[in-house]
Amino acid sequence: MSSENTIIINGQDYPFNTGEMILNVAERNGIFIPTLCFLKGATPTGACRMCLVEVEGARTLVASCATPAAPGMVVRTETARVIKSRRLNLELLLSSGDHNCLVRDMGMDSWTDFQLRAMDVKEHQDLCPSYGNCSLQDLAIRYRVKTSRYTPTDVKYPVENVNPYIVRDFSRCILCGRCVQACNEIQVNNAISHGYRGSQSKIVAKGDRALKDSDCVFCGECVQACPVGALVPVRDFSLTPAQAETGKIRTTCSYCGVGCQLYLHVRDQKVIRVTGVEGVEPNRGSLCRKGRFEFDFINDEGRLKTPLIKNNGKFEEASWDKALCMIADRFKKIITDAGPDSIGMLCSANITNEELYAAQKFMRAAVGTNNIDSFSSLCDSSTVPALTGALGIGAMTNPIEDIEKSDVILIAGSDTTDEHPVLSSFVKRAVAFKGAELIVADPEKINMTRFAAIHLKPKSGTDAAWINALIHTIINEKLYDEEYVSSRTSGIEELKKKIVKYTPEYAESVTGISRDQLFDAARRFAKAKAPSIIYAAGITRQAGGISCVKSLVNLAMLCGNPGESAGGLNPLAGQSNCQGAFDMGCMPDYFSGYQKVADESVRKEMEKLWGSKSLSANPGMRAAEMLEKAQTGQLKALFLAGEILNGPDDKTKAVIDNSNKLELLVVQDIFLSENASLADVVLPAASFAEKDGTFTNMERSVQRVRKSIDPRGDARAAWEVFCELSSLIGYPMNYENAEAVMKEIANVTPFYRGINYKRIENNRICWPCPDIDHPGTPRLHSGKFSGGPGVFDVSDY
Amino acid sequence: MKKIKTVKDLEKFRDAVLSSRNPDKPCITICSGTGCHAFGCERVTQGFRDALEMHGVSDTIDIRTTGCHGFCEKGPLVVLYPQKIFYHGVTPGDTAEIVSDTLLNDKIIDRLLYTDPETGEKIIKEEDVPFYRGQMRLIFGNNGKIDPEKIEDYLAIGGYSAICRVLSALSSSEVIDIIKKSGLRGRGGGGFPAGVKWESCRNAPGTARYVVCNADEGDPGAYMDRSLLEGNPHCVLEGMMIGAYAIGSNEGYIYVRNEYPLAVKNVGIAIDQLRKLGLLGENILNSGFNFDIKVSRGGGAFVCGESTALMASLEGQAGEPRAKHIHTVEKGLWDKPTNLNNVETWANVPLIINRGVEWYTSIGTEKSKGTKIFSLVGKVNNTGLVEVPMGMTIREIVYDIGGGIPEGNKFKAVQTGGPSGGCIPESLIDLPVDFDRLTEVGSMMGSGGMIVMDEKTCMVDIAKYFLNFLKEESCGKCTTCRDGIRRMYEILDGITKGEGKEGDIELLEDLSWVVSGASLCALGQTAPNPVMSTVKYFRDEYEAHIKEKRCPAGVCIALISYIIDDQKCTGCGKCVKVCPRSAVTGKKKMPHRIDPEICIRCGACLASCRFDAISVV
Repeated sequence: MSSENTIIINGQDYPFNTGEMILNVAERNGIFIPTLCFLKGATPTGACRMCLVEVEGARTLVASCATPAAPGMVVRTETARVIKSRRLNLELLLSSGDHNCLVRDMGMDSWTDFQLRAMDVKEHQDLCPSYGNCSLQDLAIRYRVKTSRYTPTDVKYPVENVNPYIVRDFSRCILCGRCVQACNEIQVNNAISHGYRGSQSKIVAKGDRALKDSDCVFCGECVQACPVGALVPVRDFSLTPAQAETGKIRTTCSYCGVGCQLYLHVRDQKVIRVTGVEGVEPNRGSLCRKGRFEFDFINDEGRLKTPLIKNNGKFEEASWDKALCMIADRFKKIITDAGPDSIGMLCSANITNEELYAAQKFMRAAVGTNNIDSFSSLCDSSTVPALTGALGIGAMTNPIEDIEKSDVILIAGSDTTDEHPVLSSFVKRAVAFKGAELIVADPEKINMTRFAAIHLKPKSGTDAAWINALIHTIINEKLYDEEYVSSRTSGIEELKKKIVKYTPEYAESVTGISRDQLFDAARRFAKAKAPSIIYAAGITRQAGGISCVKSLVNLAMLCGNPGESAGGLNPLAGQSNCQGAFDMGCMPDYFSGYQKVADESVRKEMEKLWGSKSLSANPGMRAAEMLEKAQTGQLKALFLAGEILNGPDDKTKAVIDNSNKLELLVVQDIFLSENASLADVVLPAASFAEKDGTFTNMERSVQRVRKSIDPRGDARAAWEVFCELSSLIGYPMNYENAEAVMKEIANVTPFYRGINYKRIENNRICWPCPDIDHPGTPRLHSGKFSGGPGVFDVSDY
Repeated sequence: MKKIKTVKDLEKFRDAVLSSRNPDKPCITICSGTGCHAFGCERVTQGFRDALEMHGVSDTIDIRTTGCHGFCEKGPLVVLYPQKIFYHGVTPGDTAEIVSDTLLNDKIIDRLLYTDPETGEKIIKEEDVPFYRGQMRLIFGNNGKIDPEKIEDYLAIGGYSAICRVLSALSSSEVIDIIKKSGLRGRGGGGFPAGVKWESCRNAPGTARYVVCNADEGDPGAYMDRSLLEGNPHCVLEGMMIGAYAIGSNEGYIYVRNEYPLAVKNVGIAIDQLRKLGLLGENILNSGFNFDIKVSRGGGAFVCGESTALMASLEGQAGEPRAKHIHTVEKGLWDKPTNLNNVETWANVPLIINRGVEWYTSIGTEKSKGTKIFSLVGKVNNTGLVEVPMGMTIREIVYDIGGGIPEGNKFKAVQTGGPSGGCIPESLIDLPVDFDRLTEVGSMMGSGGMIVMDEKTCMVDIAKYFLNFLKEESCGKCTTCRDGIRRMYEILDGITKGEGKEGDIELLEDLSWVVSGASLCALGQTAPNPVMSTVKYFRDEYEAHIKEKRCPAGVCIALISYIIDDQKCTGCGKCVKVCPRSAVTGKKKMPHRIDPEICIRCGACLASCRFDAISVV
């Protein structure tokens, strides 16, 4: 091997990439170098001095985390000198605070005794909550360090246990600074920093206040980063080491459309802790406050445990058989009396693909109606038609990680830090560390504006006007990408004509945004090489949401980025499986994979695949229509299926009014929510922690949901319910497990054909994935648009 | 002021200044450095003004308030030109007499002259005073000749001729070559060859690059950079301009601690003058060279003298060092190539350009060229700032210039290099002082602190003093520096309190090893020097503290007692009066006694006794 880009570690040659640090090369090759302060994704600080190694020719030991590998460099990772340094270092750290995991009392020859003794400890009050999960302890054991040479340091600060999420115990802090980096460089919340100096050093929040009085948003990134017991979840603080010991199961977060990968830590059929899965997309270990700390609903005693049937206005517990038979009988009767189109179903968008698929199949094949929709259509329905119309596929064009590579980011109608906190950190990192410019359009001074170069403050509901004004400037000043527009799009002349009236002056009068700001924003956006557009419910849910989205599509196509760069057009899905609800055909007009119900050949193909009677060609009702007709009595029966069914506005409000004229309302939920309390029959649902399946996140990646505990009581996954009901109605539906449902999904859905559980065991696959060897398509429209040339479609404000 | 656009303009301006000045015109120069300010030089100056006015000679006799002359021990200092009559300890009351007698009637005032302590001889001229006689004041000597607020004064002594020469006759690589050949090494502590640094910075990829002047002098007792910046800011600025030209920088910064208000003020005035004259800004002297300098005031953290911490602080971040495996000459301020030198280094640059490599390299030792300014303090008769050629021995500095140890005490050691330097014992008193020799014996040049210690200095206590300083000044980022120094301090503290135990010295050695070998920046890497050097040269003192619970120098309060010799005590009762705790008792005219239980070892009785009856054991 040539010495060009080769480094010699412990006598072995290893290749390295220019700029790579010694530590990276060693880790990649399985060579252990201890670290305490090194945090992936952050700038190495070299603060802990644990990773020091010997480099031939260097005057002192060097920090391997911060020293770039150089050709021919000779490194030794475990010499006597290195080990002596690490031991003295550990000795200092262990004696610097309340590191009382008994390490310091232990004799060199009685290590096993020590461990056995420690394991016996049941209610050791002083024992650190991170016992057994502590890098300092691990290293002390590895290097056989005891600390009796120093007088123990007095505990200077009391434990801070005044917020519901995080306990800070400075007596156990080793000042490695990982929490500070996690907060400032990974999540970019900038809530904590190093305070004071020298031996007074301390990690401080807002001038040394309690976390609750600081800018902390309790995402818990710092807790995950803390290598010792200085930052622990409140729940863990009172646990003994034995109680804190858990099994952990990887799954996908059920809160929002980002689809964070997390571990549920389980003990005795209870989820007791949540941590992020490091090193994988989309979240790389990061989580938000909800995802990390707010999982008590799973263990809640108030969960529905058995089916309930309302009798004289009062719920009575019932067996599954009784409840399902009753529903089936009533459905059959309504089908006979009023026809299948008088039955409807609405699914929440945080249940699995398997459940959603089974739901629409049940409605179409067993009941015989297209009255199937999801709650997503109440909030995100503008995206799919607008994007499908222009680009061919109605979904986020780029993976989330591309946001960090963008040079200009336009956020419209999205309170990103609040609604999609983990995704917002990609934006914040791009701005804070990669030099990206952020343009925020929002009537409110949302948190994200702190990072923005421009904050456009349109009057509510005037978004199409300012977007069109940007387009006007870009066309007027010929700032758009002519080659891209001419080769990949159609309708530009039409656009030019229609856009004439949207002068910045006009837009100013409509939106209240000054013309100078509009010019500025347009020019900045147009000059970008990889501009990214991010929008969410603030755009899609206004009256005329489709117009807004169409205008955003036009803007994106003009400046030449969809499919070509790290930018893209990125609608942010609100719920964990919004994308899946659309993909699975929980829409009145599409089967799974956006196959049109109106298309006869598609219907014929489906009938064949499903082995069903002839499928209805009647367009079904959208969610809003179903709810409306429930009030008038035109809809006779409604099935609401989901996990925590909420209205799109108020998290507690029911979607359905209690003055409805339904003959039958069935609700499957995990709690007796307001919706459920109105129902005739209530079915207990399994939560995301209690069932297998998949979610498809906003970037179209299909990710596993895994069963980590048994369902509470008799709760069941929705697909199981639909199978039984379907069979009772007369169309037998049977799957051995969720995986079998996915097999069928892949079979009938071209986009999903290459997806199966085995392939997504460890890594996501983004659809389209047309066959088993296809790697998936994280970035859409590369080279050409999926649905032919991109179409400029102008909608007036 | 008219803009100076060309070298010719500048020479014209200089000629105008010189022709308006008569070298034989009497001039009263009053040292107005910070030290003399403390002695009340402002009132002295006013006194002179009043006296001149009274005699009606304001027009025929000039007054010049200058920067520090160095002999701070004796301030306020006054030198009368053109004869260079040197008066020290001048009070406002003396001024009228000086004007009427010396200036108007050529009568020397004996009591204001310096008396050679060895010969008893009165010395009239400044250059004959032993303190100055042994020095080579190439840089610092100009302080006495100029009023730092007047650029004309600097021009009158040849100022800005070096930049003229550089801009009109030398290419940037020629300048770098000169500096490399001169052997100039960084005066800030590291001793890194300045020319090599300049060259690396020039060759580093990138367009923008910076030159920075480190004026964050943080060592206790060291003030040469302050005195230079206060007394001769233009020579530092000229050095920076030459460096910027050589490196290809258009932007310079002076990072000066805010505790140096006079330095901040004077350098600010100097920069203003240069801008007004067009010597800073666009197209300087019609050479196409653009350059400007900004002053940034630091908050006084010792660690901000470290290059990466200084740059972090300049950027507005917390002044903490970072791992610098990529050197600051490549990625420094705002990740751009940055050349950092300290005040004294920059001040040497014009000198080298003006006088040439051959002359410069004739001064000093083989690997350390030129002169070095030291702040000579501690147990020495003549404290102050001294500039000597590299290679002068400690003995020469302490005895010939410093005038030896007060009260006839015995020289014990000299501590060089600031708080993280080391102590050099008497056995090495003939050591020639240069970068490498100091490092060889376990100390360092540092920025040039030199603290003389006599037999009444406890070396453990000294080590503890410095470690206490470093403990407070460590930024706290890296483990070994933060916790290691703290632990070393605690152990030393224990030893001085009589709590030392077997194994403490070994633990100190272990800690010294890891703190110096594993710390992130130079602060930590050099912090154990005071401990290591005192353990090396004065181990017996440590052992006396630990094993015998005795402080041989009689300093460590917990280990000493004051006793009264009844043979010598006359029972005068003076010690009874001064004792703050009433620990001394006895009948009048009878030998007294000190109760060790009550005594707080303040030493007041010892100082008060006229019969040498009290001693420390």
